[in-house]
Amino acid sequence: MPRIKIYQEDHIASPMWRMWQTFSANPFAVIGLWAVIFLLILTIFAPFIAPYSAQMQDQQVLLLPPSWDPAGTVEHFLGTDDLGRDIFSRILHGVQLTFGMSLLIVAVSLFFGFIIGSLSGMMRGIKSSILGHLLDALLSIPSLLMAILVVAVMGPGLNNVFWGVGIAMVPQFVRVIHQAIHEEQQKQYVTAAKLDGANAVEIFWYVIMPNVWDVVIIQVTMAISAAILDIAALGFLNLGAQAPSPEWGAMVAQGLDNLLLAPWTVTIPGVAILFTVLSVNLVGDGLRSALAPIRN
Amino acid sequence: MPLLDIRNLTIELETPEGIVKVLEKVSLTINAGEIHGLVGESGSGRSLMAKAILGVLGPNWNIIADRMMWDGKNLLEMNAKQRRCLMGSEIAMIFQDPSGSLDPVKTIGSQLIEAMVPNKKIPFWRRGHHTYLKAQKWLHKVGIKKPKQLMKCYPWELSEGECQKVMIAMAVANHPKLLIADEPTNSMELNTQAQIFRLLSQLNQLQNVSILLVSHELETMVHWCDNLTILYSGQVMESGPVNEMVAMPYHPYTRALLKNLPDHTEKMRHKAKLPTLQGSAPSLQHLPAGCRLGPRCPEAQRTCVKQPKLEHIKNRYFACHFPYKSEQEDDDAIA
Amino acid sequence: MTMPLLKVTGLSKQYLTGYQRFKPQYYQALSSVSFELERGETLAIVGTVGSGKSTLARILVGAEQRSGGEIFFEGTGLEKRNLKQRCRLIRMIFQDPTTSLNPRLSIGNLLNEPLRFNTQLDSNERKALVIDTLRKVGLLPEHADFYPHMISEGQKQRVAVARALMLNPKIIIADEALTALDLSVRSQIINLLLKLQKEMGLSYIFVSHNLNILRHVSDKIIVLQNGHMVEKTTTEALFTSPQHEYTQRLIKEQSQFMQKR
Repeated sequence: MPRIKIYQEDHIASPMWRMWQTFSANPFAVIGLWAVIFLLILTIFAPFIAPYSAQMQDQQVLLLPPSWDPAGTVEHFLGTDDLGRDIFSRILHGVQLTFGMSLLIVAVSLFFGFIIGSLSGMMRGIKSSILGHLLDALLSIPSLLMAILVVAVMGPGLNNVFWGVGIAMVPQFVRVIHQAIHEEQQKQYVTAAKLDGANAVEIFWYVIMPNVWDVVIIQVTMAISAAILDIAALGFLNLGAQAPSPEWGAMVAQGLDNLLLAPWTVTIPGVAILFTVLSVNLVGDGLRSALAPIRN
Repeated sequence: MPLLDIRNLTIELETPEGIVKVLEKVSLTINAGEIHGLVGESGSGRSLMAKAILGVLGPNWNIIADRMMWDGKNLLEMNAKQRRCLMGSEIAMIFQDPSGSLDPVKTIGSQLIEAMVPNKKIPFWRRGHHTYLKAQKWLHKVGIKKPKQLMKCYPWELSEGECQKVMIAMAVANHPKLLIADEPTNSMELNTQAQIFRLLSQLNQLQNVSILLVSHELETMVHWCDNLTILYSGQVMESGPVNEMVAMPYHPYTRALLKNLPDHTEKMRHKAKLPTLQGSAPSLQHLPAGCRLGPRCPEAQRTCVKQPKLEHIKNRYFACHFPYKSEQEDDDAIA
Repeated sequence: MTMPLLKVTGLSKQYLTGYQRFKPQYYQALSSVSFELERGETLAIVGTVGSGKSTLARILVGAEQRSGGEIFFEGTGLEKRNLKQRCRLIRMIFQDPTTSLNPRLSIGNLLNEPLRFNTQLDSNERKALVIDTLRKVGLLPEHADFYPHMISEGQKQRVAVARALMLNPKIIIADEALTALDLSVRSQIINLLLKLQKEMGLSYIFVSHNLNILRHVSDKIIVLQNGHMVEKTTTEALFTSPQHEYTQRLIKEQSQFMQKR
């Protein structure tokens, strides 16, 4: 005999599902999410859809304005720069460098930061407070300054930007995870789990982590936008990606010479950076407000 | 003329699933100089009612009533400014968590002086000192041993009982006609609870302040109140003088509540099952039609799907189709 | 004479409050408490705030370590930090059901945890045991998929009772588990606990300050004042002829408070 269902809710809303529902009710957050998905697709497929290669120079069409200007053409949709390179293709190739690199950096710092943060969070007493204070010291150095230091030591180039920004980002993750785990350990259900006979690893994985994931997710979105800005800033300062790389910050720096003649060479990469950071921030904000009612 | 006269108050909330009637046709009458108790379990809407009287509910709540008169004035027709004037001078409220209700960065003395209205008759150069002395006097009246020392303390240095006494002093310093106490002794131990209730009862007798006590503990309310109104899930079940209600409850819910208090006479064996209602209070999404006690009531029958009207016999009101009219028999019911 | 189920001798606990001129200062939370508990009996621990009753409960269940004294369970001593041994014998129900249940786990997962940490059963057997325990406390098997924020206070406390029952302990400690509940919910939980005691032969230790309820459910009572045990007798003897004047004062306060006019 089939079991009679007494409750009419077919789908029991887990906290993840509730978060998704609150998130999708916020129009800005959904717009941000679509934009981020679009950027992710571009990161993977950009080299295949760009009409020209990033390096190809055409001497006939130096400093061509974008296509909406009467002097522009549709082939070079966003115009060309002072070496005749198509800006649209360079922007598309730059997505991989700026956005893709930031994702890679955040993934790696998350991995290391998670390990160190969990270890220090689960420890008690003097050991954990020593580690905490060491990290506070690292945290007091601004990330851009730290990246500049590393790059100054190791020389310019996109790979060294990876190390610089990555090292600067790890203390933030460690701090956030350490703080969140410490806060969870004060709760009564952790004591109840201890009295259930769980050892430290089991308490960490089964009891504390489900409550800490949301904090980690929020920190990841904030870190992505900070990483994008750091990479672009370093590229602008000529410490990161070097010419002729189509990284957006480097493009802004190169276009700066022709600012009055051809403003599009500066504004278009700038708008690309703005769009990316704005969409990541919208998603992060949406997540934060979606998580706030669940925590109460 | 009663001090507070509320008839058929309905409070609705707009939810994504529709309009939910959180309180349905609740009537309350408080006369001057009495201690009235509003008893209900969690989810009965008693805190909501206290806030509605005070007028501090947000815009997504609709308040509809046949009559809501305070001392002859109609509360429904007043605008926000008039309501606010009432709040400070004639109705006062104390809340559940006293140490959380006090501002942690200011001293007790400064908060108490801030809450008091300065006396306009005294010339302004003496007003400050006069208010300070009056504050000290009130602290002494509520039973604080060293008022001068306490005025310089901060809220985190005081115990819960002392914080609640300070809150009562702040509420009563302007001689209100009604004091609403929303679960004033929730987190306190027995000794402190007794002190607070004794204080409230003294204020009622000496200063002629009427008190509306909102709580879920029937045991304490039965001891300290003159009249009682029992709410369940947003509807009034029974209301009337305490002695008569305890001696002979008309409504099945009142009787079930009173049976929950074990009396150690020979009627109940040691470690026997306590007679109680099955199930739990309905949630806002699944409110039953008609009398909301219907699913759990031992006397429920088909007519209970229609909400019973509030009938009265002398000064006792009850809303039930099948009230108990005879003496309380010894029925070993349910559970 | 048969061995008592639980025998506590000379239990004491002190907390380090600080140092004064390099000498450590201690606060004596409990001094020399001794009592015994038989199978199927209910013991009540009474006292005001600061009397050490919560500390005693936590020491018995293993959440804190004792400074001195011994605890014997059926003759074998209980080690100080051995929670794996302790959790199969003595379990606890906490005061506030909202904070003692993990908000991110469904109830089935919550009840699964003690089994996963301590036993070698596979997932089907664990599931069957969870549903069986849910039925015992009066909930439905569908509740295993619910989350704590969807159920009422009374049902949350039932889940707490179910969690305490999961490893088949012999003693359950209820640390002020009934004070935060409404009247009818409190009676329902008391009825549930009494039923379980009859069916499974459990022993209870109730820590509370509500003498009225304790008089109804408990067989023995000990009264604590500032960490000292001032009286230890059966319930009837305590209420009909209390010996110590602190006990007399407590009873008088309660009866004055609870008297129906």
